[in-house]
Amino acid sequence: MAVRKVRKRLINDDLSSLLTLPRILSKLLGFKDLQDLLEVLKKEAEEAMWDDFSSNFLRAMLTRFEPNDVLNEDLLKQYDVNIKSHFDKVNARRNITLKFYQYAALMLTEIYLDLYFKHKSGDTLEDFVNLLNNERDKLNELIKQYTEPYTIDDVHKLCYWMATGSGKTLIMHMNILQFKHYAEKYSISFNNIYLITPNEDLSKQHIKEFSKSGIDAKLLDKTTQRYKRRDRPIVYVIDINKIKDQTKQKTLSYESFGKNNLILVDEGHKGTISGESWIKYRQEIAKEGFTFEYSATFVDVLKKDDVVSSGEKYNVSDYKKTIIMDYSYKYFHKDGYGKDYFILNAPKNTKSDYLIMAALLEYFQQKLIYDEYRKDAHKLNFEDPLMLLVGSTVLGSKKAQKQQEEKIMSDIRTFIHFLTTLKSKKHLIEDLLEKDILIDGDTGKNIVKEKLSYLLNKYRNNYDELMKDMLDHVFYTSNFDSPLKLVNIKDSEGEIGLKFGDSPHYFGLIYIGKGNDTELLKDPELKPHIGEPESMKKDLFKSLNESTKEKPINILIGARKFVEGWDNYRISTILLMNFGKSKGASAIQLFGRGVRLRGYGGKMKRFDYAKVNVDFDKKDFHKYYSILETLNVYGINANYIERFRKEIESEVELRFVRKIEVKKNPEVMKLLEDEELFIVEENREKINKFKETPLDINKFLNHVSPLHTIKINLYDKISTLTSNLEVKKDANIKEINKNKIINDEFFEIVNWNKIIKEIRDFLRVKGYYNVMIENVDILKNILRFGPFEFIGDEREFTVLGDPEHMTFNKLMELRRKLERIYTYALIKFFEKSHNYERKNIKKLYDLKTLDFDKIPLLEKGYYEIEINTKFEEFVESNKLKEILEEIKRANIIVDLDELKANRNEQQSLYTQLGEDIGIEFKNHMYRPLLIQQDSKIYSLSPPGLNKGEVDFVNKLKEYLQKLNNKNDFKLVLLRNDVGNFGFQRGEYKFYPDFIMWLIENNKQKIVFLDPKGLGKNIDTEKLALYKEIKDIEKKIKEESEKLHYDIELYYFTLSTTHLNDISNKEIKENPLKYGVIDLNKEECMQILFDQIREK
Amino acid sequence: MNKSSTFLGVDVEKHGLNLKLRVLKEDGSTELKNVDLIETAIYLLGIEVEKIYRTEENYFIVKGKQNGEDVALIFRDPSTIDVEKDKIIIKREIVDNTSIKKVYVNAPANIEGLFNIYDALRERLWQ
Repeated sequence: MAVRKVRKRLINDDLSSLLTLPRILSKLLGFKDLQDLLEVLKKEAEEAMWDDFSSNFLRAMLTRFEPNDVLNEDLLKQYDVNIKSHFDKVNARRNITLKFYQYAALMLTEIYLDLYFKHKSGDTLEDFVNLLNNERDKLNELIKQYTEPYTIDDVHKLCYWMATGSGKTLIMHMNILQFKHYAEKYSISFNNIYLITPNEDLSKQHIKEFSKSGIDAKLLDKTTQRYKRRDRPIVYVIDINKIKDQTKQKTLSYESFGKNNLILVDEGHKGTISGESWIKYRQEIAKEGFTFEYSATFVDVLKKDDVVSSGEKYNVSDYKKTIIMDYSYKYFHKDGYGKDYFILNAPKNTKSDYLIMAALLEYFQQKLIYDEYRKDAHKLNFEDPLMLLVGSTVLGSKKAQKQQEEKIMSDIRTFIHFLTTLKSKKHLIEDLLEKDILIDGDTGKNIVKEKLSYLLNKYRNNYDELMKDMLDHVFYTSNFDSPLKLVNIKDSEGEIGLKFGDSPHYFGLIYIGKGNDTELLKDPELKPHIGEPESMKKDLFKSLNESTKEKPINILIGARKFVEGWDNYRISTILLMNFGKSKGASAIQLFGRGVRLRGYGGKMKRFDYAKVNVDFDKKDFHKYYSILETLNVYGINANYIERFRKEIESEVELRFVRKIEVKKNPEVMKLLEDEELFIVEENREKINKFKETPLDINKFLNHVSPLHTIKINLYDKISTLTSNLEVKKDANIKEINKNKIINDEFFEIVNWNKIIKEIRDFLRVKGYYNVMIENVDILKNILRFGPFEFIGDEREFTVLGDPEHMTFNKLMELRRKLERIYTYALIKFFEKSHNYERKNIKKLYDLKTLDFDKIPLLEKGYYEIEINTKFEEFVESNKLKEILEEIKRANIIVDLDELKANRNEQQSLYTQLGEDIGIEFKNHMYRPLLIQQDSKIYSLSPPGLNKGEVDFVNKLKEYLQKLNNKNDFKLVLLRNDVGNFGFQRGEYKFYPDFIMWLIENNKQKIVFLDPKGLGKNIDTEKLALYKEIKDIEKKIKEESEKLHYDIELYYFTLSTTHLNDISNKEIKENPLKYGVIDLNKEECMQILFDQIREK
Repeated sequence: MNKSSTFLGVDVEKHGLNLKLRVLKEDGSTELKNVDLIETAIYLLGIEVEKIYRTEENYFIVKGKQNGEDVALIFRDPSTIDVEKDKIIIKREIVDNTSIKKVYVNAPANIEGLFNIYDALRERLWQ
């Protein structure tokens, strides 16, 4: 690997590595950079979940956060609550979830806006600039070298670089609310909110989206009355083409916008005005105000063509400073979102007929799979595939536009001509499959043949049959001889329907805009194919989105302009004709539309990444679903798409992923020759049955409730989250009589509609559908009779008893507070009672024989090791080079290993790699057992051992060595990866890091071990497993007796924190009572073995 | 305000399809009027109806599109729901049809992922 080359690339091209703001803000949060933050959030969960009135993501961030000059924990909590409250507004009619990267974007924005407005209101923006520059100074040399310091002009703008489909629009809506929140908080006024889009269609699309989010928006023209509203923001939407020097019939002068506005810019670099003027207009109307800019493509494309051609003024350096979020396509795709893609750019001299046929076959294959596996395809949320044919773009001057329109027409004619002679095209299929017309430049293989495995399997060489089925599935005709007909659709502008003969169904639609349609129909060559104009009930274009329609339009032909902002998940194959080099952004936009994916459960992810088990009706669907989640792009002379492909793929090259093979440890296998290992697992059927049985709520009410008490600390949970964050530490915080908080008087004040909705949302999101809330009476009864105990300041709840001091505002504040308390108490009640019942499911656990081949890592067969070539390490240390070499060696060794696995070679692996990389332990179930390095120079999947885990394994190894084979037991250790063997702990599944089997006499002891730090936030749920595991042991007694085996279960927490440093007094004084063993102690292993071996 | 049915108060949920709202007349007095819950829901939730029917078990089912996505509404008398039968009927009518992305019910059912109609209606009214 040419190291120098990488370096050059990073510095010159990889702007993503030179963004200042995400680094500064991530560092303030305690993370190395944005990617580090995203990794931690992603590990926590895919989506935000506010259960404890703080989100799972906040809690994940707090594990790394250290208070500093700028941020403290309370502030972060406040930001988290702000995000939740804005999101609730935006989401009220949508019902979507907030993804981890969206949460990150919003959190960074909270931090930034709070700081910005705070300084703005104090007239100290200069200090804000200094603050940014001070933080910038702490970044590495490279950033400093290749970026410029902040100036006062840089701070009024934030940019979001996010892949199409990643939810930019949602971020925009949230940003409006965030901005408004801080402007009000710091009493800064601004005039109007404007959204500037690239064209009118997109403007309209945005207005629809705003309405879904409950934000008022209006299309702006010269007749629009612009006024400012205090209570609800109103967004004026206009496309950049309509902003000019002077107000005329269709345009508005930039001066009419005034100053001090909030400007939102969507895909801002795609204005259709040539030259610099659009930049000027934008800069003018943004003056003295604030700008948010959103784009999927801005930097990677912009920097090369558009910017340079439209003047240096608007240069990349601005973006290095103002991009706050980077979640561009490469990250989006890497995280499993969106479709996979296949891009083929045929060389210029390729006959267009071949390319059209190749694309058609590809499309037919998708269509056929969809038709034949419809039910399964729906389970994964696939939509009926659609093929898109796009001609060159309509852009630029009138003259150029005219020329381009002619070009499109000629592209469309080419395609239509192809269709009219479809009958005679069978030989193309044969050629494509048999003659290597389109071959992969790298491998020399026939691409078409490789990609069409499904068709080839089905039809073998029977091309007649294939052709017949293609006519049927794609063109809705069974008759080769029926002529193609172009039908002008009356009453809908610019639509021409395509069908064969007298087929009642249109298979295609030409959608090229008003005027162009009549132009096309005048074409003398097409004359024999023109059918009688028809009226349709509905526009054909609109019908494209009807996914469940029988026999929908399969092929859409048109110019690219209509695709912008068009929400359609059907696009599965795109054929690009004459897509030039310069209009790259449009190609990427198209690509972005095409890779959108609903995904299983609406999670937008490819199925392999959804990590769920779905029973397919037709079992072999698992072989083919990936064909439906791949976007195929075929182009002739589509230079841009080629460059784009290289752009994406070069990112992949930078990632240096290698496989390290994992095998069962022969020594362990020998040891277990005549033994079986057992493991306990939850019985899925029992859980399903539990979910299918409505929960008896009454059982948990009043004094006999098995829940004992539900303690609610109002001081901690509620006060900080309602009005202010000022922490009042005083003696009035104590237990409050329940009646003071739950009483009929208060029941009259609160809005039950709001509470019941929150509760039902909670139950739905958590999947507690066995908790059925018929009406509010149930909720009231739970509050009245549930075992609640409140701690807080009683005086906060005496407003009603003190009418003299009651004001409307106070009453409303009390109301909000009560609503929060009630909701929180109810949620806790449902959580606890649900978990109690779940825990007590009869025979929840099964005793099973351990199947080695089903251990995830052994089943997979290898670790993936990925080298991060982030330039920080690259520049700052030579470590990367060392690691690369080590890995290279490791790889060779693993290759050898494939030839002949023997212990000596394994040993040599460690000797060569050094002790850092792995641990050799003869009692571990598989090898190698690799270590994760702190430096993050490489990462392992599944993760390697961390420091505490390494410490444990080494100590265990030592201990066994000391016994010097005099032990009369057999011992096997297994690193237990997430997803292997776990225990449900309340809301999540907990996977102890290790499982140790100790076989002694006729006893098998299964010991779950979890080395971890016991800092300030001790997870008592996990510790409690120490006792509960004994209940599980009892439950499986019967089964283990049947096996004539005595099975004992244990769980221990191995504390990497020194006992003295544990803040919890009880644990500190009596660790074993909680199953805690101090891993720092010399004799820790002895303590452990004393606990589990015969006493 | 909670007890009045004027504002789709929570007690409304108990009444199934017999939704009565107090409607303000021109002279300032009010009058109790029957309101078609199904029509109201369709209108307020913005459903483009494709099919409305009643099953033999007296379940009213609306299928259609909301924001371009397939959805269904299910109405039945909350006082007569048999949880087990309810599950079977809803699964038969809706859940097995996998293209439906969202299902609203007027009273809870022991099925994963359902939305409450009243919650959605109130949001539409008060947004």
